[in-house]
Amino acid sequence: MSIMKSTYVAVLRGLGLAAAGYGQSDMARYIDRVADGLESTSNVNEYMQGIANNLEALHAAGNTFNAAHVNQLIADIDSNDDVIEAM
Amino acid sequence: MNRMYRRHLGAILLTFFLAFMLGACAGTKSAYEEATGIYENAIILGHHYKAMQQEAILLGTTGSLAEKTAIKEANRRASPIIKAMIRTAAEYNDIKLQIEAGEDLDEKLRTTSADLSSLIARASYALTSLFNAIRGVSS
Repeated sequence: MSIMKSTYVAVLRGLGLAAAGYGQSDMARYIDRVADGLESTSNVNEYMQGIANNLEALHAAGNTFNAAHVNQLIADIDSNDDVIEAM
Repeated sequence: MNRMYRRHLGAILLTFFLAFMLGACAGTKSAYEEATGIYENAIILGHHYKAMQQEAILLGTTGSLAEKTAIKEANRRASPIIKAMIRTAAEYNDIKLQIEAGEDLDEKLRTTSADLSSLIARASYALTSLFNAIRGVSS
């Protein structure tokens, strides 16, 4: 997560603590949920930016995703399936 | 005092949320924009699903039993569709390469392209289902 995004999340966590301190437990829970969502969105976007950069480099070389890339992607999804089932 | 506190807190939250959202989707948008053609779009969608699975795993470590069950059910329904789409995309790309090499496979390319289009539509819905399960929203 970038420094700016980490700062947003940290400030939100701080606001959540402040809200809890003022006895605003519903507001504190809501702020925590927003912070969770922002963290999650940020992780997905950073991963996807890496894929975008990878594809841009492939295009610059006149290539596209090859069979090894596709096989690895399926293997990764299979592996994630196993972890999710074991949760 | 309570009302004023809530109003200020709401304004601060809104400012941070809007500022964040302006840049939040940039990576995902870039990946879909970089993709050219149906093959690369399908692979990008597959990566998007993988990234959402990784988020599900992270959130699953702290989620309630009901949330974990919802994520598992969504993944059981969605994952086979995503993998079928990726495999069909690979097949489509192979056929295209064979045609470029001089093979007469235009009809096979047409039917595989139709299959892939249908699978991309189903995979988009599958991705949304997992997203909703992660967010705790019933789909």
